[in-house]
Amino acid sequence: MRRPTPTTTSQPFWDAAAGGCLSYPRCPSCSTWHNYPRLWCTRCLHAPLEQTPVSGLGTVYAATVVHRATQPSFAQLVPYAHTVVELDEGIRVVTIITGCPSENVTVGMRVHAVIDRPDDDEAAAPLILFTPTDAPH
Amino acid sequence: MSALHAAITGIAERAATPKTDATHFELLASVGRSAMLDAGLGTGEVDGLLVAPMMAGAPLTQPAMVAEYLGLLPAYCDLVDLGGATAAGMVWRAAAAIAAGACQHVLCVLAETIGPWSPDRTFWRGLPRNEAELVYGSTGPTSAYALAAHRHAAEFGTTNEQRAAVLVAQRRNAASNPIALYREPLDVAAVLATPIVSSPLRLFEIVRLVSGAAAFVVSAGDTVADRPLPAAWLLGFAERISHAGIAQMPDLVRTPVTDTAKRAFAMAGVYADDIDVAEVYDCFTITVILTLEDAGFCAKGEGGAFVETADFGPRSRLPVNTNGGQLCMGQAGIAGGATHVVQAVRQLRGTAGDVQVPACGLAFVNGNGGAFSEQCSLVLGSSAP
Repeated sequence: MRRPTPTTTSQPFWDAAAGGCLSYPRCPSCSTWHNYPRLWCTRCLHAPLEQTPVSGLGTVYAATVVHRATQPSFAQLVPYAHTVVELDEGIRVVTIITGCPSENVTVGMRVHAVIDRPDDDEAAAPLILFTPTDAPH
Repeated sequence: MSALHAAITGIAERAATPKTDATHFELLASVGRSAMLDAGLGTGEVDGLLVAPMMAGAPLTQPAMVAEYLGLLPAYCDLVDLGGATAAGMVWRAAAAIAAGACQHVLCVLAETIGPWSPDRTFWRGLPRNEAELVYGSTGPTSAYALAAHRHAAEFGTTNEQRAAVLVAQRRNAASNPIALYREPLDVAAVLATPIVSSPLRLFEIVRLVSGAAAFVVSAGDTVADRPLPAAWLLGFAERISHAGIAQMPDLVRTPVTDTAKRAFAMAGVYADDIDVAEVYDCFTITVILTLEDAGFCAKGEGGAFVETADFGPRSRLPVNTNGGQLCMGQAGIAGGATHVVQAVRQLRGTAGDVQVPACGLAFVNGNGGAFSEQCSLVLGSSAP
């Protein structure tokens, strides 16, 4: 799998995640969450936004099991559950579900975030994966 | 109502091929010339040019380079990029420029080249989707539309068989289309027997990327009487971009077509029931189902049942994608959506041959780009507004 390349704007998000904290930019003025990170609020233009922790809990909104990868770095992972999770805070994120067979991932399944740090490169950004709340881990 | 007084007076379309030895300019010039001849216009009369961009990595000033290559001196030109909705989006942009008094005849050209002259596809760093989607194994459009198909099944019970019925019906329409790549009849079982690419979508539910090109001319209403062939009048249009990445889509199974079709019908002063033929963007089977629902041709959530029993043919209650659509034509990249514009014009002219809808007076065309991101709905008619 590939690792994200943070931009100046998204670096704080990835740094917090690498430190074990899942957090997204939230507007202190109108409370709008932002994913992906922005420098100012897309609803009310307020700046700056505040990096705000989330619970990490969410529900599967939609999923697809990829059988043919288009990116070479994902070829070994096939089949995998490429999924949109809706966090309890209302933010939707794209992720991969781990910890259960990919074909078992269904709309409505409760999941929680797992921050995946690369073993071999401390400087690389982590990935935000999700696993079923009732899966053994 | 609007100030529009413009019609499509010329069309051209090349047969799709998996690869081509032609350059992008050669393809654009080929269809550009054919469309101008079809409209009965010379290079001295065409004074507007809309160009769909070449792939990533292409240089600046593309419209000027294309104008020069074609021998045009446009007073209005632009690069239009709405993804797959580009062709539909070009129609009203041309009409608006005409209404503004900038020009009289706008040539719109689109092409895709896969072969030795393909521009490099550069992976751009700094795109939000790199961090938000690609690192989680997105496969581009296929995984995005698969997510929508999965959600549609969960919310409304839409089945694999119902989605497959879209392709079965369109293959029937393609049987008499000499430039369609896929014309053999299929049944639902054959479609579902093809490999799952990204669940629930099977291989045959996904367009094949090919080389090809298309062009059309949009002319001022006052010039239509001088054209050699019947024109397709622009009666209504509406466009909306609501997002780019699939996770940013407000609702995975309610597309911006709900908004654009409603506004396009209102502008034209018609209802969905008045439409004689629907030529709608069909990058995937699920795209057709969602478009028919959201345009109001059937109730929300009932698209699966609608296509399961629908015929799509010229004498059916609602003819859809009468040339087989892109699922049978192949998708010539950003030019793919032009096939729906061109086929609608053929229907309104009465030149659609074996798939001619009797007494075809009103056509609905939908352009769809990205992951349902960009929508452009058009109402075209055989008579002036």
